[in-house]
Amino acid sequence: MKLSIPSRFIASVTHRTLLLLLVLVSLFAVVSTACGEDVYEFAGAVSYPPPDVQDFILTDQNGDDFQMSTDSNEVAIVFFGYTICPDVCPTTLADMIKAKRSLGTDADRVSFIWVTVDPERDTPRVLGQRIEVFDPEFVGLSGTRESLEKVWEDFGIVVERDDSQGSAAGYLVSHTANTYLVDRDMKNRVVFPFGTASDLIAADIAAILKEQKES
Amino acid sequence: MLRKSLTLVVLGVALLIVPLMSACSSDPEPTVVPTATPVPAPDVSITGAWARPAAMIAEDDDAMDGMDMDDDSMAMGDADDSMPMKGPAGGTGAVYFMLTNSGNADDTLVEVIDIQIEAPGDFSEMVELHETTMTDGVMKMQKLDAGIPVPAGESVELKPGGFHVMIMNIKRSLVPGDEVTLRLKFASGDEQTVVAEVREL
Repeated sequence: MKLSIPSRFIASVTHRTLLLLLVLVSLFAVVSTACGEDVYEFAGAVSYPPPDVQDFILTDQNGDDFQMSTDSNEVAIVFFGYTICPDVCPTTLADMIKAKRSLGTDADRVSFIWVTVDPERDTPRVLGQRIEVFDPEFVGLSGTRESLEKVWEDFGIVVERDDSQGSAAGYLVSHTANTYLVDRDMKNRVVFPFGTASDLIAADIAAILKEQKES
Repeated sequence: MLRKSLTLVVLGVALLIVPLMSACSSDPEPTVVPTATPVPAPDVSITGAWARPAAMIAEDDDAMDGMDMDDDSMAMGDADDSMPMKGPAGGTGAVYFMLTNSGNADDTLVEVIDIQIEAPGDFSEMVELHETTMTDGVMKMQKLDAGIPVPAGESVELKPGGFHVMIMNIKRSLVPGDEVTLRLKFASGDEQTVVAEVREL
């Protein structure tokens, strides 16, 4: 059976849609004028509403428990990698160190957290040795595969062990190379893809710190 | 490089002399000197070599299933028997540089045949050519068994997030100011030495 829609109905729908659009556009115009230049545009990717980060407990490079929700800093920068990785992970680490430098004294309010994607080889001691060369103030987290898998999943990190390369390094680990900004309310606010310039990352961190101070 | 250009010069002079000599003996008419067509050959130069700081990592008995020390892909030397089979071996580093082929034939960087740092003793006997690829934000590393092609007249850059020399099992941490010396081997048979400076982050 063919459904026929009265043309008058279509006309009224179109009319209503147009009207709605008009209202939305004018509302947007008013709001953006009101906010003026205060609207900060993030360099990283943002989503609204920002997703919640599930609390977790892992082991830091000193062998101590690290609980995300009890971290005393105002912002946490979370990234994923492994020590055998010679290229992308040190590049990310280097970018975070540069971002930390750009922040100046604000850096004292930020935790930089490296979560391993290779718990079998990255024991706390191994992570600690790598971090020592880069920045001893960074937090390096390891733990059981089960506990880490929950964290990877929560952040949307793909982790794949790759035995097929025949490298002398044994296996390699393919993994998502994004960096995440978690605010004090445990919201995953900004996602930085690999290669985001460190000064842009620093600017986004500063914007969140400012926003939290004002609220 | 120098030897190659010398050969070319000698070849050019010889080609020039032969027609000149024959011109003197029989034909008084000036002969057109044939321009020497160079034998197609690659001419790869290496510039801007650098390395990141890297941490030497001591064995950790708690670690499991580390590097395969008996792997036949190991580039140089034999595995040290005292090295345990488990646990991360040493620590890793990466070296980057620009390869420019100003010749008229393709070449391929096939292997790093030696790697040293200034300090005495072994630095690392494990080095491979790798490429990082990124798909939907997921980083994957690949060992390049066929090497890194450097087509005639083109430049190929080894850089973070792309081609790199992966150094494994480093026996000393690399700090800014250190110099890593690599001996590179190309498919053409050419071998070159390059010095990579360890850069500050």
